[in-house]
Amino acid sequence: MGSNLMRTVTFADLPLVEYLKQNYVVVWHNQSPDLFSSEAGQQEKYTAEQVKAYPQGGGGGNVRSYFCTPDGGILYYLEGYWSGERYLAEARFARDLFDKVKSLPATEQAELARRTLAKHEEMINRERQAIREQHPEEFAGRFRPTEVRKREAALGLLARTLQLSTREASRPVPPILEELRLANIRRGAIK
Amino acid sequence: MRLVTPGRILLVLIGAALCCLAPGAAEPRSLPERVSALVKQLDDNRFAVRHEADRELRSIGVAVVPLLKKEMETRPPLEVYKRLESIVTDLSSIPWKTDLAQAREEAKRAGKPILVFSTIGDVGGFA
Repeated sequence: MGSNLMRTVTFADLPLVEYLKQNYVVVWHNQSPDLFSSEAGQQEKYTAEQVKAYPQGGGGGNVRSYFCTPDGGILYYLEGYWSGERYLAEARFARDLFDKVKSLPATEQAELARRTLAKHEEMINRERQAIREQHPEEFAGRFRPTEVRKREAALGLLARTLQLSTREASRPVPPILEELRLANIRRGAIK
Repeated sequence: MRLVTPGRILLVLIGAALCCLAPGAAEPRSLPERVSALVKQLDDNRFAVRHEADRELRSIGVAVVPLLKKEMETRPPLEVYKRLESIVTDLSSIPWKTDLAQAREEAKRAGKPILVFSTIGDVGGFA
């Protein structure tokens, strides 16, 4: 569902569409081209309520965004489904990061990227902490899937993604895409 | 009774010409007015006018999409409708590539970063 929501909701968000067109060369990578395609069956449609209920950050490793240099070196990695607004903010962050590192040698690029990602993670964690402080009643007792809790949980997933990003920074993306395809074969998802 | 002299007529003509030449004098002020005028031009008899209106509407960017969708609901002539539909589709969709090598070449030429979206399923759907 996360993948379909990215396609039909996030990538249909007009400000995001315009930003991506102007600032990125965009590539769609199908991890399982031999099995799943639009011709393979009926595409599920979701109601507005279902979309709203679906958690940001959901979808995990089946929904991956790699923001890369023109050579294909990873600058920033984002996992899961995100709303158009949040995705736009992260795409802006990645574009700013690219503008900072583009004229540096590869080794310095990786170092600056790591430092910038660590700062971004700190900022996300501060945002998360601020939510907890503003709504202490929401965090007392058992978990209830309120808007506040979902927003805070999404930021937690985003911070986790940033840790993964720091590890992935400067790795070339083509072998990773191939690994994903092979992993699907091993899992038996692809014939 | 006031006399209409050649001098007065000349002054009126000069005034009218200056009004027409003033920047933005004949242009609609708000975006909806501007879009509405351009949509009317999409039905012009001259190809060059239709073509230029199409180009201008595209150059405005995504802000024009909701306005064009409203225009489409007014049941314009078929050619205008088709043009509107084409502009809306082009402005609201992402030009995904599926070949990474080709994307890298383009990114190097344009000096842009690359976004690779990886998932189970293709652009058309599924998963």
